[in-house]
Amino acid sequence: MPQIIPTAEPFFFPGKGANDKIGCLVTHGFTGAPKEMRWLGEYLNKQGYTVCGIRLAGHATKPEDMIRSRWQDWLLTVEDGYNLLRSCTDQVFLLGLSMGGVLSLTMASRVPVRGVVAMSTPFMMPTDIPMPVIKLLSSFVPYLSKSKNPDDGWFDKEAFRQHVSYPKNPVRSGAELKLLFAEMHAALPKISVPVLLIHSHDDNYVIRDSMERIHAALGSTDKQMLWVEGGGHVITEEPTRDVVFKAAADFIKRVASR
Amino acid sequence: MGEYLNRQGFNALGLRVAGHATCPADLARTRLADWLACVEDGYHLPRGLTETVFLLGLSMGGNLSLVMSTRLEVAGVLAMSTPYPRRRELMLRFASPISLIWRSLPKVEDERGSGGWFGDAWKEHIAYPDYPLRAVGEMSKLLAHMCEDLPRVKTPVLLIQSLEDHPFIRESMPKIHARLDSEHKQMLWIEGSGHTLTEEPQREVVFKAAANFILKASQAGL
Repeated sequence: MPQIIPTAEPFFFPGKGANDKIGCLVTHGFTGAPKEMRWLGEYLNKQGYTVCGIRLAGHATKPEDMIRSRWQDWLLTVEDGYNLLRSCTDQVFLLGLSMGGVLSLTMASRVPVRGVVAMSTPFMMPTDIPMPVIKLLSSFVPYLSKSKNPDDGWFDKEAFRQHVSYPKNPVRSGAELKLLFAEMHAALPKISVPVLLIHSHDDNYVIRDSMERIHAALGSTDKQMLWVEGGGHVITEEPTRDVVFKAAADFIKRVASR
Repeated sequence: MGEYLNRQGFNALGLRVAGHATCPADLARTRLADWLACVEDGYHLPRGLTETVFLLGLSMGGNLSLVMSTRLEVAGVLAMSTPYPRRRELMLRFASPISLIWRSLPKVEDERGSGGWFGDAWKEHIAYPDYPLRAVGEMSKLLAHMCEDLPRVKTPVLLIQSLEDHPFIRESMPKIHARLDSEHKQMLWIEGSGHTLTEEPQREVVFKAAANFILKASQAGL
């Protein structure tokens, strides 16, 4: 039996026409799967862009696999995706949702990318628990269950039903997320490429002023904030998706060098 | 090899197996499930542009490719310099608990390039200088998995092996060949190369054999 959850496999869509040398790496979030980025990938591919949707290490298989992975493994998966796209394109854009946004911004300070779109990206942990406490806690309480109720934050119930993610959060991975935030904080002032930030007014999942704080810390001169309405945290699958996809495509069209 | 196949018109994807090409500590943390999931990733990525997928692997990559061919729809497998375990290698699963105190095993080479290389390719070759013992344990598990899976392999298989490889690996090819259930299975011996067939002087012969195998297997729709 294959290990990856069916429908949550990574994907690669070759571009066509004038945009085929422009690559878009779409990265999913914490406990998520490439599936949550697939519609965005298909949309961008229809515009002719070459798109790659990677599966972060330890994701879309079993939660136990995630416990074992470290933030470096997640960032390396993004680096792999970047290198795969580089082999067939001239310029690469990084697009990420939630932790995928954190990873995209962090990676943008380490490899030459053309621009970044960070969606629903948190600035820090919702509650600041010291590292040793998280690690100790994780040996007694390995997982924290997520709400199974679609009324918790999801606007599109149908989208919620098809959404693939682990039903529980590995506590140990919270410690990695905390370390990753520190990496992003160090990276933000070093980023000089254009950045588009998109966030939903109705996102109750991450701390509320995340987008403003990321925007303030960014070194880029070309940086924009876009607020959307009518969707929860996963704005690439919620009713907000049409607005989000178009904003991302417009940003790439404007920024891409010809 | 990827560049060669790409020049012949094939789509080629080279993946980095989890824990590799960074630092040995990353490798010590990974498990067999992570390595297999990487091959699965690499299988799914080109599905957007191809109809059939062949798995080609060197050494442990050959073991991974053979195992994954029983779990995914593949058109064929090319396994190069691929080991088949003796009792000794299967015992190495005990390397996992030992790794708690003894972390890594240095590669037994007196100096760089002396490990059975024929050409100058070792100068550009990139590999970790030692084997994390925890990963050796996982490798042993992979070999046991492969032995179990070989009788379930139905897809066309080409095995390529150097005559001058380490005796243990040299003896592996006929053993793998004998246990495969594939109707179409072939062995190819190479002379004048070491273990890393894809970088050694006879690599063109290997590449050509690979391209021929892929063409034949995909045209025949075997």
